[in-house]
Amino acid sequence: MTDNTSNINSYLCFKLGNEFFAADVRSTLKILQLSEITKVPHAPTNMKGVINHHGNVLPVVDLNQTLELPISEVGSNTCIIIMSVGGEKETISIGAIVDEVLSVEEIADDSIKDPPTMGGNHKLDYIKGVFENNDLFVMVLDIDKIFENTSLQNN
Amino acid sequence: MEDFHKLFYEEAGDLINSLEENLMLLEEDLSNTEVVNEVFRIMHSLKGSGAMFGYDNLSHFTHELETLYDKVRSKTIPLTTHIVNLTINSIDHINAFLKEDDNEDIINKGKAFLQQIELSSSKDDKTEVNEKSNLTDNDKIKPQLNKKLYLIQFEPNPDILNDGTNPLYLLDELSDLGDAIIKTNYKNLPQIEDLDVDKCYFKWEIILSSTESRTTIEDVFIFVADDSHLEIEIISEKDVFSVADVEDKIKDLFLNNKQSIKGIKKLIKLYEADVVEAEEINDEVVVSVGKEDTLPLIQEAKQETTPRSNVKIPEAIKIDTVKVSSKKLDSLINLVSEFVTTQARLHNIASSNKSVELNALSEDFQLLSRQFRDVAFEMRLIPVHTMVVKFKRLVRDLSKSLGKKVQFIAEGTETELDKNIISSLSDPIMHIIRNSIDHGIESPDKRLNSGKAETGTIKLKAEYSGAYILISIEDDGAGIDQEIITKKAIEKNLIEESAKLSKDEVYNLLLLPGFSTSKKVTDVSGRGVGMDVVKRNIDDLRGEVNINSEKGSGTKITIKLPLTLSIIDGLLVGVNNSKYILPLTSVLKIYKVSNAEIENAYKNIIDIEGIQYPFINLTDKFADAHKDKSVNHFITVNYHDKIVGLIVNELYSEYQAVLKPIDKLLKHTEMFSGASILGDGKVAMVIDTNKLITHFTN
Repeated sequence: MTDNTSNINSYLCFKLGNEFFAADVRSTLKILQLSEITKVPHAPTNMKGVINHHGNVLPVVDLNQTLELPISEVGSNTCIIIMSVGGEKETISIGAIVDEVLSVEEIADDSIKDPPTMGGNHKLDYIKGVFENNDLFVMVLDIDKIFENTSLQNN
Repeated sequence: MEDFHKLFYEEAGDLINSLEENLMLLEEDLSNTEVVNEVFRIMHSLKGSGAMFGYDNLSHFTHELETLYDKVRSKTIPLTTHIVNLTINSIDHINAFLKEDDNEDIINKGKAFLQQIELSSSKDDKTEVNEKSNLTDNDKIKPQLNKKLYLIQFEPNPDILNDGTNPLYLLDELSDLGDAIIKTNYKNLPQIEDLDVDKCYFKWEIILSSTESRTTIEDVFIFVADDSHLEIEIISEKDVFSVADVEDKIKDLFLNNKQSIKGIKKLIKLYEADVVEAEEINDEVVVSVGKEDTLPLIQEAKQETTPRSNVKIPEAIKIDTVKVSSKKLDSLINLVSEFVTTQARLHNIASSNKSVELNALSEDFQLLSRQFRDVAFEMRLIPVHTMVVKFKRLVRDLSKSLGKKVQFIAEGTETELDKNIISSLSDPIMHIIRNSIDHGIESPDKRLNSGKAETGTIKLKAEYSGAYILISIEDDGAGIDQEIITKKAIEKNLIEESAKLSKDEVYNLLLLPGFSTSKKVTDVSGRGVGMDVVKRNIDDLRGEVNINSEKGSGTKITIKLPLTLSIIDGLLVGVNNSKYILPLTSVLKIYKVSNAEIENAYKNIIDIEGIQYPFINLTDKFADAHKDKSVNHFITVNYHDKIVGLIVNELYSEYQAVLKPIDKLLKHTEMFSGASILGDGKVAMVIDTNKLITHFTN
């Protein structure tokens, strides 16, 4: 038995529009209520501005727009997930706006399936895999990859 | 122990720096004995501390060099340019040892290098065979002439063993300096049940008969002197032990506690009378044995040692500098930053409160925090001089290997800059200098042909200019050929073929990524990292790079840097209901203008008090969903050598802004140099006026 088959990881599940996504809890730091965001003129459209988080200035992005999903209205459940992204060399913290945070699920590695190869509006290379939870399909996001070469840097 | 290694590493770095500096001086003036002594002292310190921290190979290596310079110092061998050159090269070996002391490869290279040195010093010996043979004779006599008797009392701190120092090694080292009679004092040794094995309970009393100066003896204890009790006393200027039997007598009395120290001192004074005769005899020996030319040599040596011991040992050492780790300074700055932010909150509460007392208190705090900030920043300032040594070395090595003649001049090196800026500045400047030598300065014959002096000049100049520092690197080389650059930029698709560029625009092409004009890839520059990296590094420091060149007569690159990195005085303004901070240093005047005036302005130029200003309407430029047209303030700011106006909606107050770095994700928004947290916890972007204006005018 190899380690891979027995590994169980925790995932933070959240909602973007009508779809369900998850991120490895190890790359999530904190969940904040949506507070006032300071706009940064001439920033890329998915970048909503900056916030003060414990004395540090963090950029905040709209995850819907980053993944090129339809823009959703700000509701009472809208929150910011503070995530730590980046490679081995250096990590930065970033706030991601999601429509609703659902739960933390413990999922064994072997019950995460490969992402579908066709269909859907999502940029597929940002999706690490899919798992089923209470009859719902949840897509696991590769957080590092999303911010590695998004329009954030290149605009 | 980690910490101690770091300490050693830092210390060694300082020593190596000053070693390089001294060697450069020596290269210019071989007869400078002060500098020779300094080099010797540095080698000695490196050896001593190296051994203490387990860098045995480093210690061994520097020991050989120390021996070499000892010979130079005592004039046993003459100092040649060759030796100085070798020593300069030795620095690379020392650095290698510092990184990896027990690397076989490095050890072997070091050994080979030492052989080279030995060879060179013996070669020099041979050329003066006669003199040398005389000197060896003299060696036996000369020390006797200068031998002094020291009484050293050394009581280490009981915790000395915890620092990884073995006092016995120090005593060993001391014995190397001459004939030592060492007595261990056990008085403090507790009963066995009270004994703490980690503590050192001993004191030592040593009578040392040595030719070395007091400074050399002090140097043995250099790393423990701070927390140990150390007394060095010259009990006799004469070599009392040269008198028959005296040494044995004293030894017996001293070691077996038959006489107190006072008694022994008296005894030695008594014997001094006998020495004088012996010395006179010795002098005669010199005259008869030594040839004529050796005599002045000895006298010279004598003359040198006396003033040195007089000058270098002030009666009471005054300490007016304290060494503080930069980590501590960094955390001080962090605390100051937090203090300033907290003060902003206090100010916020006070101003919404009617209490006069609270407001007065808040104002006092503001004043204090400003002074506090300035003092803390000042502590981190170090002179540009500290990095110049590196450049000198680079110019020297590189011009040699490229067969060019280059002299390096540094001006205004006393100009001070934040330590963090200096440390990130040295690489870009190195790169610029490398470029200058490689591409700029021509080969000697080419220079002669074009009517220039054979030796090229690279001049580094640092100066203050308002709230900025200007550092320029100027060479009198071939200059930059605009045509070649334009051609290359077209080749690389960086510009359109039809594009007509101004001179400045052409030079700015050099700062674009992936632009290298060298025709061939050399070892030195042109490895794909070019001026764009320099620009990026300077950008990170919120600075600017400016290139100016005259084909055929040289290139000047100027770096403009802000004085500090983390806290600035700013002006808090409002644009479309968001708050922004403008650095106060670039703000000149504030006027009130009406909407009509702005709307009627032709080509974005407005006339105020008879002067026409071009302006940028930030309420337009920063507009998204809504645009606030209410109140308009016209702020004039410096933009290079022009004055430009910025239009905002609101003016709030002066504001001390703690600059928080904005993440890499926001880097492309160059017009903001950072963000700052306001008293109410919200964030305001800090505008870099120069970059903002450049952004909107291009």
